[in-house]
Amino acid sequence: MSFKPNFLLLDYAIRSLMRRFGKSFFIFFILSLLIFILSSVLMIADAIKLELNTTLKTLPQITLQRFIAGKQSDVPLERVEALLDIEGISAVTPRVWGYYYFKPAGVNFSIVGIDAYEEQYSETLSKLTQRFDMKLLEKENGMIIGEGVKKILDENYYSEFFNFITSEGKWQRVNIAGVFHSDLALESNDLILLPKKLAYAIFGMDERKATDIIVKVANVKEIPTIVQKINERYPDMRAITQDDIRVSYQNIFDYKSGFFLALFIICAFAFFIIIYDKSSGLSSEEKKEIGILKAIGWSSDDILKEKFYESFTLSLSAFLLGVTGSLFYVYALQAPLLRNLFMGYSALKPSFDLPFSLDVSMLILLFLLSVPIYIAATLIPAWRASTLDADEVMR
Amino acid sequence: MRARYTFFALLFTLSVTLMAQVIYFSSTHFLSPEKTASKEALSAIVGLPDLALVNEAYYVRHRSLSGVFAYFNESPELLEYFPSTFVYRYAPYTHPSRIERVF
Repeated sequence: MSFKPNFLLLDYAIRSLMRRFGKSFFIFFILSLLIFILSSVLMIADAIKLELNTTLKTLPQITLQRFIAGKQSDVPLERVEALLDIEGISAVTPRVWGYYYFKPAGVNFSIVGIDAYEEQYSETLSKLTQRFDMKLLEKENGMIIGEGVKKILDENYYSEFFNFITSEGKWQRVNIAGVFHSDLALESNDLILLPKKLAYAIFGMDERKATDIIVKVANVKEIPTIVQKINERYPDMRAITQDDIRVSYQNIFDYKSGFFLALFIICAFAFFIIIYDKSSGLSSEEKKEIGILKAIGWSSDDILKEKFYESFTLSLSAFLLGVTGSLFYVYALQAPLLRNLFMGYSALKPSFDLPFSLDVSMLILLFLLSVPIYIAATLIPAWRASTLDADEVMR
Repeated sequence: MRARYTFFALLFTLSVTLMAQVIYFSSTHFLSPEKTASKEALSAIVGLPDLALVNEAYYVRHRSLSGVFAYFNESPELLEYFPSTFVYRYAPYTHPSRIERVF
């Protein structure tokens, strides 16, 4: 059976929707809102996932942490040499990093120590930062900070330097040698990059120890074996592989966990309530209308076609409006209110400038969840009414 | 005027707005190779996972590296005390917690 569009029926359907403007508008509004909220959440999740996966492959292949009595503790540097004996390991690098709580603003900064003298860094760092001064980083006490850190420090009148309070209670003055580009805000907002020596001084750490160790492996396939060997040699060390981090990222966005599911259930329930309300039966006025149409010679087929046009125009417009609105909301307005779900309540928030990622399969899923279900919910009761006699329906 | 023209005009406007937004945002917010390269360069230097979106506590900031009992550093009763912990969840494969183990 071929389906030819009947424009006169479409005219009738639209006018019929306009006759019941209040009811039609209410359904249109709720349907658009549901699609808007769902697609906004999915779009944000998708963009964050893309952002995380972009940097995944440059993360360390194996990160080794030491645990004493269930708490993470510093690793003695002698282990670095010992680890190099394990076959398959091509490089072992001790790292110094941690958090610095800045009391006046109530925020945690992430401090990462780097070997500032290594030449390969200077070129890369100058590309990543604004007003970068390598000399300051090398000779004097300099640091490169994220945009958010810069903002917090400015608010506290530290525009050129910052006084860290070391574990001994002394002040450690560190100059600001550069600020990361705003493009990198999602990764570097709370970051402070400074020479390792300074990091040791600020944390009050023993210089013969490191926060953790990163291991580079020549052959990726050997990673599980090497992790096993490290575990046998040092049972107090926990190895986190790149794959573990990938799984962890995957898990972050697993619908089974967290807020996405809750939000989805609320939306889905609200939608199904509307569907139930619609499919539980037509109002007597609508039944009367069907009866009159049948009496003046319309066939059941015509009535169903008219109802199809009615529901299709309404749900398609709602779908388009919902998706258009959510694109504007997420990328132009940076998702006010919804972004708080993803950002927590710390004062150190980056701008929610997400990378553009439009998942077509997500849009198709949303379309299938809204438009066909709504059409079915309108057609089924209309079909029931249209199969009855005109006389019976009108009575 | 026929009702269908109003509907087609509405549909056309919505479709054009949608397409225009897709084109505009994909050009302004697109992860260009340069942006990707600088992000990769930064993460290669820093070597730490997770985004700086959530940092009210250290075990939420670098969640993928946080400890086995990270949740219990402050109090064992308070499992979920940040809104973000509902969204960001540790991987059960990497951080096996005895609390979730089925005996």
